[in-house]
Amino acid sequence: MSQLAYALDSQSGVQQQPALLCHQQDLVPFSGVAARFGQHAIALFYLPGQAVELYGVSHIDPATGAPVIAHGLIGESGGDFYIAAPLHKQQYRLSDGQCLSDSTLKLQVFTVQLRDGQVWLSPDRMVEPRGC
Amino acid sequence: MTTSITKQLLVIGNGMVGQHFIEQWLSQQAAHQHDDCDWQLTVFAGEDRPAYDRVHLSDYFSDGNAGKLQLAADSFYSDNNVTLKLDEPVLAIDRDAKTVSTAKARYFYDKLVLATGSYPFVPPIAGNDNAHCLVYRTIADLEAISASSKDAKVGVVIGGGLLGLEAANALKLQGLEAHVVEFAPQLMPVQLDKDGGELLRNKIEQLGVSVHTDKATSSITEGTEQRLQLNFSDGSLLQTDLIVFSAGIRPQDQLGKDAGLELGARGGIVINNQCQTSDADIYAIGECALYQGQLFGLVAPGYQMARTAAAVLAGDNSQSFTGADMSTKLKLLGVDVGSIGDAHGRTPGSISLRYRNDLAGEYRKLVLSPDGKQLLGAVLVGDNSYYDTLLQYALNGIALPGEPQSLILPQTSGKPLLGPAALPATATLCSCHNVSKGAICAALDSGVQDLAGIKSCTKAATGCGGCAALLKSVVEHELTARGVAVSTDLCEHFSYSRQQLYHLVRVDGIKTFNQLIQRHGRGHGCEICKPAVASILASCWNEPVLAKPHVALQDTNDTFLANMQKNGTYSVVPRIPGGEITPTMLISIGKVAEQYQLYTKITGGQRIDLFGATLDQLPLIWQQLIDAGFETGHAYGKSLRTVKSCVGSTWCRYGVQDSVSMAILLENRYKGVRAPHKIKMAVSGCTRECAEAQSKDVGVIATENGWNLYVCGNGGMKPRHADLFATDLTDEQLLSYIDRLLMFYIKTADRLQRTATWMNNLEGGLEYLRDVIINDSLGLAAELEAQMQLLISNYQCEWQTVLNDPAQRARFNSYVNAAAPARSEFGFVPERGQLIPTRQLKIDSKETSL
Ligand code: SRM
Ligand SMILES: Cc1cc2nc3c(=O)[nH]c(=O)nc-3n(C[C@H](O)[C@H](O)[C@H](O)COP(=O)(O)OP(=O)(O)OC[C@H]3O[C@@H](n4cnc5c(N)ncnc54)[C@H](O)[C@@H]3O)c2cc1C
Ligand code: SF4
Ligand code: FES
Repeated sequence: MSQLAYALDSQSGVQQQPALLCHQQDLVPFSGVAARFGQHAIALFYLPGQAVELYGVSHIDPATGAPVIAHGLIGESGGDFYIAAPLHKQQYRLSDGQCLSDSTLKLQVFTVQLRDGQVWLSPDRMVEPRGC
Repeated sequence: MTTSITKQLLVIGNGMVGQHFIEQWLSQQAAHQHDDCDWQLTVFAGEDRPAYDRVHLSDYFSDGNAGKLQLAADSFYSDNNVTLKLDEPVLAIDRDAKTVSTAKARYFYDKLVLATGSYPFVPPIAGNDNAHCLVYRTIADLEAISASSKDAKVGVVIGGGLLGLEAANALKLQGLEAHVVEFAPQLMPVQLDKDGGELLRNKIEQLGVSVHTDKATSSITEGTEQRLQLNFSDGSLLQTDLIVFSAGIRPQDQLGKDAGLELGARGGIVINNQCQTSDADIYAIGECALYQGQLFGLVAPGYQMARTAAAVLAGDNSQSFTGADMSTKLKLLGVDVGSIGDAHGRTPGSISLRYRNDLAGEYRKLVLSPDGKQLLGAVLVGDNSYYDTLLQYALNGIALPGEPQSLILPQTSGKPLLGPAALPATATLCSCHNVSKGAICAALDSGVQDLAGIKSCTKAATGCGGCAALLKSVVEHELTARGVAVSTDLCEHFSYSRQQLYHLVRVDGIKTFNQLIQRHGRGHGCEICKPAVASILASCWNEPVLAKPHVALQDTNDTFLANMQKNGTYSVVPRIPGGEITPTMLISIGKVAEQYQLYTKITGGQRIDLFGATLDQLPLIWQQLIDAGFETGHAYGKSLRTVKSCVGSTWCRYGVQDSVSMAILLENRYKGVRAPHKIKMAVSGCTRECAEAQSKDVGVIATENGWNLYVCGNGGMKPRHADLFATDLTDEQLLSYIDRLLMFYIKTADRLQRTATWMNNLEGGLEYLRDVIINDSLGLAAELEAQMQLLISNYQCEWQTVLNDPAQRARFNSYVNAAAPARSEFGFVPERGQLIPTRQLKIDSKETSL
């Protein structure tokens, strides 16, 4: 694992307040960007017009440890949205981070919200360990 | 019609074969309405659920869904007036009174069918009755294994046959450390020979399952570290938390035995070729039946017996069971294993041919008849792609080709494939349901339109599934022969092939993915269709790939105009047309590389690759390169890579044309043109071919009189030599042929299909292509050239475009809300004077790229 991924990963901090991550104009419709919160790297996927418009998952690729998940392609199957990891194309469901092709791989999910043009990170589920 | 009497038909056992019997019986009833009596069908099931698919039993562990395995809908039985008595095993048969009795009642029969299957054999080892000693046959067994695994660490399977290895995989899936203990000196002694067994063992051990062969278990006692301890006769021990016995199956023949039916010496209810037992009113089918001294532990023969018995009972004596093929192929723990016919070469005088490759982990053996003309048997480990063809040779007695070893040697272009066309109509494709190629053709002739229809009307490929690939190729071949289009849907969002989508885009003038999916697709797209459509749009209109509507469609490499490397950094490849570069330009590349500490390598394509740039650095690096006069090399795009060149007549004493100038001309002409896959070209200055033009999509070799053009060559995974397409061309002819050829490829190829594969699949092949391109047989030439001209004139250096647009440039920030990460954070170490990624990145090789 790269040092960056390691640093991003080993941090655990309890956050009490919702935190402002970035602004709506930083998002790219139907694609991903990465944001940092403390030592966490969070991939944000923006799907304007969909039932859930914003997803937040770990930016770290569980299979390689590389910080690249935000740069994958968004796909949809049977109504579920997923992200295809850019390096080896594993598919991770955006709603819960589960890898669809390998049950041992999982992305940490972050609770993020788009409010008044701002992207907020909720305090819950912040210290959950990574799933692999 | 005479007044009908109702007769009783009882079936004991609702396993796979019992169920198939019910279905066959019902269809016989439908076909033979003339019978003067009504039958009432009653089925006794020993288990508490209706018949399910035992073959796919292990799926229960991957998805935990027992319901999915059920063979017929719950309503099937009542809808068809079949009485199903669940959890009501038959305890005894009284042949004189013609009754069977269960714990609940006695039932009369006129005819009786035994379909009681087998039970797992548990060797008589002291301690085998422990609660954590289990077997692998029913859903209830799997539930028990699952429960026992809950707080277990280690699991052992006793028995290294087919089922044992499947059980070992199940234990692994349960998260246990799995072991297989086999009595024989090798795995799968029944199906494989010694070499095959050895190779399989290596492979399985590599997957983390420990294999212990030549081990006889003498007792099972309480363990110290784990719950149980296996004590072997050689004094060694193995501790485990649970044991799954998979030491073979035994026919469930107790009822028959008690009733005095004739049994085989080692068990099994003896049947004749009409599936009748020694009592003419009692039939036996499936794994409990013994035909000519042989038991059949597979579904295909069981289904044949079910079909025979149903026909005979309905008064049709034309059917008979005459034994069955016991060939199998499966994927065990991800390893291909196949065994056909006389795998051990037991036929006197038989000849064997073997191929063994320990490096690739592949083993194949052919067993030939003494005259070497027929295939009697085969063993495959590591690659089952050979299975279908070999099985057809063996089953249908097709005469072998002159050099039979070519059938098992690694695939080369010369491999005589037994294609769907070569199979005789009598060839059995699906042995489970006894469906021949002729039956498939008849179904197609009667109006069935597709593979799904064929499956539901002939049932082919709905048993063990082993014939699915072959069936698909036969159906597609036959449909094509009948002029029916074969489904080539791109993905779940578009019911069109790439070629059809290309057409729609062009004809409707579609400019964005959203327009296309709204008009001609459904859903929201995926990583298959988005880049494919992005490429089509670029091939048609050549708008910048990063223009707003296209941004979200691009593969990562296209999004950032750079190839992502394994640690998340990127590579930078400037274009160096024809490999020609001035010293000043060379120095400027060196300076940039030095400033950003990029790992620098000369590529196999005659240019220079700079590795290890972070996302944030890419625009800075490219700005400097563009200022120095470089442009993007499209190393990331499905587009022209390099036009390789030799020095040609300018310097070389043999050169007859200026290959460098031609290479530079071609590279500049086609750079940036998006295609179904990448395109490579080369130009050599004479026939000595130093530029290796014949291994390229487009190869040009100089002659005294001009240029010879070669097309559709390929290096890479499956090399193909390019074909000579036209000779002694002028510069103008050369360019117009290449224009047309590339545009025709772009129009008609599949997604991610290189020109070599495209050509291999092109009906009519080289001749047809010559006709279209040179003779303009489709009248397309002018249009193709005009389209290419549009692409050429719309060319812009994508990096230049990005640098000019602040919005696009912003995408190269690693984080939207934080400063760029330092490059050191990605983990670099020095090697031979340059920086490379730290090596401990775990790359999972089983994932596929691209
Ligand atoms: C850099 C280079 C290796 C080197 O150090 O020499 C290279 C590197 C890559 N090759 Fe290659 N190939 C390179 C020459 C070749 C050659 C040789 C040649 O072009 O003369 C071949 C065989 C010839 C051919 O393609 O017909 C080659 C056959 C492949 C293939 C297999 C293609 C096939 O049809 O089977 C792939 C995979 C693919 O494209 O699907 C591939 C894919 C790749 C990728 C893009 C894999 C990836 O997606 O990350 C590599 C990334 C390079 C990067 O990040 O910049 N590379 N690759 C060469 C770059 C040449 C250039 O200047 O553009
Ligand atoms: C894990 C696994 C994988 C397999 N994989 C393959 C494969 O890939 N390919 C292949 O061809 N075959 C495979 N098989 C074998 C295949 O499942 C059997 O050949 C097939 O199920 C046999 O069918 P049957 O109806 O004869 O017996 P069964 O399916 O065993 O059915 C017999 C039924 O009769 C019931 N019964 C027994 N006695 C009584 C009684 N007295 N009263 C009432 N009911 C009774 C039993 O409870 C049972 O439900 C596999 C088997 C297993 C366990
Ligand atoms: S191909 Fe011919 S011209 Fe080119 S370098 Fe080789 S020998 Fe010289
Ligand atoms: S051979 Fe088993 S399904 Fe066709």
